[in-house]
Amino acid sequence: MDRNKIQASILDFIYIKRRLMLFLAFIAALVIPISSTRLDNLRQLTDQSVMKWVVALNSFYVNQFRTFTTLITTGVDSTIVFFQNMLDFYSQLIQFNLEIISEVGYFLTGLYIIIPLLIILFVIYFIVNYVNRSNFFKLFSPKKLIIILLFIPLTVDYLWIGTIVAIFLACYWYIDNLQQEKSENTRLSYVELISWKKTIIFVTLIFIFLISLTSHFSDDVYSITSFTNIDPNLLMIGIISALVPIAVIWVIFSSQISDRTVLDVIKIKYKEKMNIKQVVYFIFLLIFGIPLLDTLVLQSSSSGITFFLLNLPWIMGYMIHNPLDFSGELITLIKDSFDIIVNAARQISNGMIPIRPSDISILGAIQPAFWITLLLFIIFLLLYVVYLIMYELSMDSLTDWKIGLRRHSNFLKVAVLFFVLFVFVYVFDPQNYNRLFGDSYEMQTDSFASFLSLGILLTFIGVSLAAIAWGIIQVRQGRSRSIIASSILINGTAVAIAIIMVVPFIWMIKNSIQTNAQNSVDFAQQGLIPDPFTTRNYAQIFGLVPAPYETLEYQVVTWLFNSIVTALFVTGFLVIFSAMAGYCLAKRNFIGRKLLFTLIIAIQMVPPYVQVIPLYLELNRLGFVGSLLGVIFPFLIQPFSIFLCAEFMRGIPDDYLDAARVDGYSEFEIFRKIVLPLSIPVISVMVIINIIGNWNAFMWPLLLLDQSEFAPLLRTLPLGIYHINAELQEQAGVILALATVIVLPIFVILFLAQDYIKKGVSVEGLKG
Amino acid sequence: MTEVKMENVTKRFGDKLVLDNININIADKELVVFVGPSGCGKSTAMRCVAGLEEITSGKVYIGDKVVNIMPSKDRDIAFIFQNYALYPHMTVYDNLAFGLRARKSIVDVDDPKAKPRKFRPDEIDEKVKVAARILKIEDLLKRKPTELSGGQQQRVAMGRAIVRQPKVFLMDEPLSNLDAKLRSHMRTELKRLQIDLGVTTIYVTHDQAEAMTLGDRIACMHEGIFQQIGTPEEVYDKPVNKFVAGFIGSPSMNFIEGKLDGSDFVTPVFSLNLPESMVTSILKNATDVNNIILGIRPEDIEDREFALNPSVENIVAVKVMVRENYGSDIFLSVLVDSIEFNARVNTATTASVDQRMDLVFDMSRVHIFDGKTEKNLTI
Repeated sequence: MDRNKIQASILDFIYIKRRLMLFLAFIAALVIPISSTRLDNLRQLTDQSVMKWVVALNSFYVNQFRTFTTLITTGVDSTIVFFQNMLDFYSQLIQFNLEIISEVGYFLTGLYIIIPLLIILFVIYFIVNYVNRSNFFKLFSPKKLIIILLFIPLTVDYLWIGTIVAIFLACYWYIDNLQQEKSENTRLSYVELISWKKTIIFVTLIFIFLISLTSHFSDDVYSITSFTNIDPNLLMIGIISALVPIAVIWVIFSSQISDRTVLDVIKIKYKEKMNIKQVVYFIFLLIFGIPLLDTLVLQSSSSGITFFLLNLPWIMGYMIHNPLDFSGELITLIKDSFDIIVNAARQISNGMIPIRPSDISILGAIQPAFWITLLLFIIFLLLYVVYLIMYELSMDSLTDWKIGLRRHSNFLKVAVLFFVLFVFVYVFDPQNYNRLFGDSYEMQTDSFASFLSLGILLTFIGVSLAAIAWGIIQVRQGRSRSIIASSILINGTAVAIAIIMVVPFIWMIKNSIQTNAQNSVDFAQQGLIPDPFTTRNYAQIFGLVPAPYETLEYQVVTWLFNSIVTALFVTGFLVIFSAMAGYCLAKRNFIGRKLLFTLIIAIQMVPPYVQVIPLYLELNRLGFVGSLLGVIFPFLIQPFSIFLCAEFMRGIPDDYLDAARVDGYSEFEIFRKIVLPLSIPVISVMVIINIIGNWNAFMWPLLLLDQSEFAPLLRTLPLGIYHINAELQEQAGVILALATVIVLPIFVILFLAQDYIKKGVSVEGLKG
Repeated sequence: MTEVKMENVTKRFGDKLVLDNININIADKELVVFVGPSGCGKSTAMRCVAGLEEITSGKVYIGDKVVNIMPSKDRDIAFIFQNYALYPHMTVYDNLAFGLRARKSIVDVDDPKAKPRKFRPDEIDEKVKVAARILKIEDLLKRKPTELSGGQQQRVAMGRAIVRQPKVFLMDEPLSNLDAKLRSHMRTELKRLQIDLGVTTIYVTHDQAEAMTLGDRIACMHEGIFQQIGTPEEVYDKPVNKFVAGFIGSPSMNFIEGKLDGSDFVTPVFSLNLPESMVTSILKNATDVNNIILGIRPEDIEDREFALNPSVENIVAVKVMVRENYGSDIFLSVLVDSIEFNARVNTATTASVDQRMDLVFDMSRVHIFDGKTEKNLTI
């Protein structure tokens, strides 16, 4: 191979293996920021945390082993007793001692008779189906053996043996796979075979092996439960007991949407999923996967999911015995975990990193370098897109770089996402404010207020004259006088109304950049351009300069964060729920559809203020008062949005859905890939209306958030301005600055979404 | 080898019986047209094959598998809709690729151990390009469906079906949204394409001309029952009952009520002599010889001056009500006392409106139907 060829193949490789490249780049970006001190930290951590982490794994297995041995021994004991009794039963029966039947009871008699039959049947079935074809043994490919071997050794003493064997097997499997693929796909270039998925699996496996190996020498237990304060058992109860109703709902839902009976759905799904292979995998997953997850994610040493699984009957009993209590526990769990997440995010938004670097965890070691990693990765992504486009241009598969940019927009999207994340965190770090705003400065100019007043008058007269002149010209050209006159009148009125509407906003922005001394002057005397102007008000609300009164609690960043959280959560979920519900109501047939739809319309008739007291009481009992969840939760489902969606989606031709159904798309994919894109007009209306509505929401936040002891932390922006307003009578500038901050996002949204709003209004006009 | 078979298929919507115990065997590579007036259940029958409707009872086979509860995605069919169902938010390319992106299928046919997998982007690209080349829409790939003309949209819809290389095509009035000229053009192309690809096809239409020209066989449907299944010639020349006779052929067959008197067909105003063979089969099959219907196609009625075998026994004196000149033919709508019927006569005819004239019936081409059961008594 000559040099050019190698070069070309390397270039090909970089082009083709995009995801592998991204993966490697991310690893590199993770590693590069590690300076020597950080390396020391990391080394310390690998000495401490990884080992501790791993010991947790070990002690978990020990405990698990003990539990299992106890279970197995007692199980075996009772089985032996059972079979002894059965033998007695038969020996008595052979001697025609029929009284034995009434002695052991009819139930046991039945069991004794059925069990031998079942065993015989099973053996025959097994022999016929699996032994002959030896399918059963083919289940264990090297890849699966690795995983099994990795988790079968239950104690520290044997773990390392399994690990070493597993490493050998993994290497074998990786190489074997490559060779196999190479021989199968001879036309593919060799580089194409190094799949990113396999590489990731391989790297992860090696990582786990290393942990397992080091674990041999470790002795302490580390738990993250102390950090999150969530009982892992409770969490698992939540997840697993949520799965059951979800499964039931899913089965019923899919039977309804596919016009099949529930039994048919189960039958089809059974045929699709339940071959012996899947079942075996599932059992392996249950036995080995869950403890792994338990240990890696929750890092609880000896309880967790396995504990939960063993206690499943008790939990079921608890659920049946006292469902209210149980659901109360669940709600507390949801609320607690949400609060923890929000608190952590809030800290990030305040420029703090929620996990302290002193924490003994991998996360803690990486955290300080995380933002640098992010930046590096963004740069890499951008460069990579440039490379891809250049490559394609050079290979003549692309004529225009703009098309390439569009083709690789996924990378750009990720880059932009990371960048936004970075900017958000970086900018909202209070330490950076001084760099952004600096000390407040003042610009001195001469007053020309009187000139401006004259200017306004002259502009008005000029515009009027121009309109008249335009009208006269139009009339001379032969247009109808009445039409021209009315158009001038209508447009003139519209402009006048627009000016009246806009002036308060302009006044707000203007006064927010004036000093208090200026603001206290009479409005007419102030002039149009603030003179001098200051950014001190903004600096003050963001806490960059000390507030004039110490009693004031400016927590604008927190409030801003709360507002964003509520608006985005409500809007996001509302849109998803409404679109899904609307789709079902519009396009699917199920029992009670019409009744449901009527109910949804009927609910709209109930005035919102009637709901205030019952809703408050309900939320209070659930413990949502004094939590952001209380502002979010009740508004996730709104009948009007569902109604709007349903009415709009009814207009989508059924043939679109049928076509996709024939093409092999599932019901959810149809919803996502066809119904959702076609419903963008109505969805954008919902998004805009709800974002604005929730951003400006005042009553519910006032009722739910303002009473609690953490009130200053929980306020949304409108609540905040309400309080500042009460506390700060003569500081108009500050209040208006805050008002500007509140209004600004809405302005931006309206500006960006003009077209959609116009479309949406017409949608509403047609349908609503 | 893909045969489609419907065995005793019944479909109800609530109380309404839409398909009443229908049976049909569609051979491999055959194009069968379901034709019938609107609301006769022909679309429903096809949707049952597609799996978009579940049948109430009976069996549907595709290949040798019963597909009653198989979801339509697993039946390996392609459906072309009347309004094409092209997704307006996707480009033509994406529309074509849509079906390929969905499913896992056995791509590497040669390899017996191959597992089902999704198509790779380059494979999809290749298939889309091939389909586009077949249908000559290569330069439209980057456009959105709304930017295409009706004929182009029709081609894209075809492309979406053929790109998946399904076992069966199901077409639901695919040409009815096109204008007349384009329709006949697309009809030819569609037929050629079906022959080239050799895919079993079910084609639903209410247009009997389309059915006659396209179908290898025609399944004529009425009130949820296949009235007759046969080649276009069979259906045209030997309609089993009055409905089929009236539905197939344009303009439709004339029906004249009357009775049998000896070997004559007698109406209150005129009588016609029937051939001997017809009379015997009528006497054998009819429920009531005094209540029979004579059916004759307009082209079998000719002006006396141009008729080949005029005789006293098959001549009717009529009064011309309407005269329509089609260039190649002249259609006359005529009246005998209270009986009205149509005739297609030679363009050289001198007949004009309100004029009296003599018409000759080609009695060998006449069909006689039972007045009660409406069955054809002469085949």
